[in-house]
Amino acid sequence: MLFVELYKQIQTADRAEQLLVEAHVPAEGITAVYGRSGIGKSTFFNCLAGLLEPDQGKVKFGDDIWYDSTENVSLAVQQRNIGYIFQSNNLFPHLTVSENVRFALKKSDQSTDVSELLRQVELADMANRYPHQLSGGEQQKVAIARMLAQKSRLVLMDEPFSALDHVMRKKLFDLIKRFQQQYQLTILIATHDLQDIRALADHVLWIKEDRKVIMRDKEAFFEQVE
Amino acid sequence: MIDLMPIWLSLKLAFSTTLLLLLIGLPMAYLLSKWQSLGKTLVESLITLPIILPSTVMGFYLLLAFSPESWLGNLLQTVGISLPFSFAGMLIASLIYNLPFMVQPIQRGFEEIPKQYWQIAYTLGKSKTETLFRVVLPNMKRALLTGVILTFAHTIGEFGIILMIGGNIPGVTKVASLAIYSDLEAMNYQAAHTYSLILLITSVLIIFLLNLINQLKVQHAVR
Repeated sequence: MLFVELYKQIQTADRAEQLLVEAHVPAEGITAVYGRSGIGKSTFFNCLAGLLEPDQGKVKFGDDIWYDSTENVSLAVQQRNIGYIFQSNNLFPHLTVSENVRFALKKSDQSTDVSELLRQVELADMANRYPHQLSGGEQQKVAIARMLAQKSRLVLMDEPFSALDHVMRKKLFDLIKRFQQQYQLTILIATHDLQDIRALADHVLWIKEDRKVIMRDKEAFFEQVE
Repeated sequence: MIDLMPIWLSLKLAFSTTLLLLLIGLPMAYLLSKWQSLGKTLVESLITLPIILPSTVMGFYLLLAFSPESWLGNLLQTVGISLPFSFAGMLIASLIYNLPFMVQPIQRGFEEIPKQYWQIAYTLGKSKTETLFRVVLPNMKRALLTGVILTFAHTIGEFGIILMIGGNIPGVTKVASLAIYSDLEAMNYQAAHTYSLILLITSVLIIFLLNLINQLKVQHAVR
């Protein structure tokens, strides 16, 4: 279970607004974080990952407290072990595909079979290519393989499909669903696309126009939004 | 046969300036790329100053600062250091004068690195230092190379500030660009011609190398 209760001031073009997220995200399954562009989805993710400091609140994953403003606890981003996949620029251009995946391995964990991970994302024959030699979808697959190498339990994906065509989207949906079940991951996917939610999500965390958040299962969400 | 000492001194000055400025300029460029305030504009303006200021003006003020009458010169003299008309003095002047040629390209290089590279490396458990050396610097090789080449080339071609601080002393501060001036005054045209040709060839090679790097940069961006 991911417990989130956080407040963060967001500076919009003309004023400062308060993002307020209070949610219990189930430990297993895929939760879509829905809201229009600029509403605060990335800010929310960055606060979860430890890349941004919330103004107040508490973030707890399982038994681990990552952030608690009342106790003055704020775990560094490096200690949270969160898989984070962005819309683009996920791979380091100077490293090959296999080097990008190997980059995620901890010093104590050099036994992970990178070739096997690349096989799982159907890119075994592209291990020695550089990111610029891959399509956008293939780059996202490498990022997913790297997330598996990282062995994180919580994965944040920030609009990961927005630059991809329908065929590649479908392939990635299948991969993400398979890995979620195989590795029992907690996955949060930020999106403003209802089709992504319909195809992938079990639950929806909806950031509404007043920047307050409601949590729904998928069916209840679609009843409300439609 | 010409005296090779001025060529050696030019190369020594250029290599020392480039190496030291890389060490000084790298953290400076990093801080400037991260800094967001009015102070940044002021510091950037000061760093850019040598590009527009006549080198003789800077040489004049540095000479005043290094002289035993100034507090700095006086302080240095008490510990046995005299900077005017020495290689060390010439090197310090060269460091100050070349600062923009090293800092500006590297600062642009840092600014062009997507923020996500830092963030992804952090989420993968890497520290700031590890991210800098394993991710950021390898992805700004061209910016680093541009800074190094520009600084080296500019140092080789320096004249005014070097003349004022170094004083054109044979075997100590008489670099190739000053040797041309001396030989021309002494009507030793053959030597002046040889030094000029060496500097011309060096400059052409450096500009060619710089354009080649920029060409690679364009091709990389297109990809």
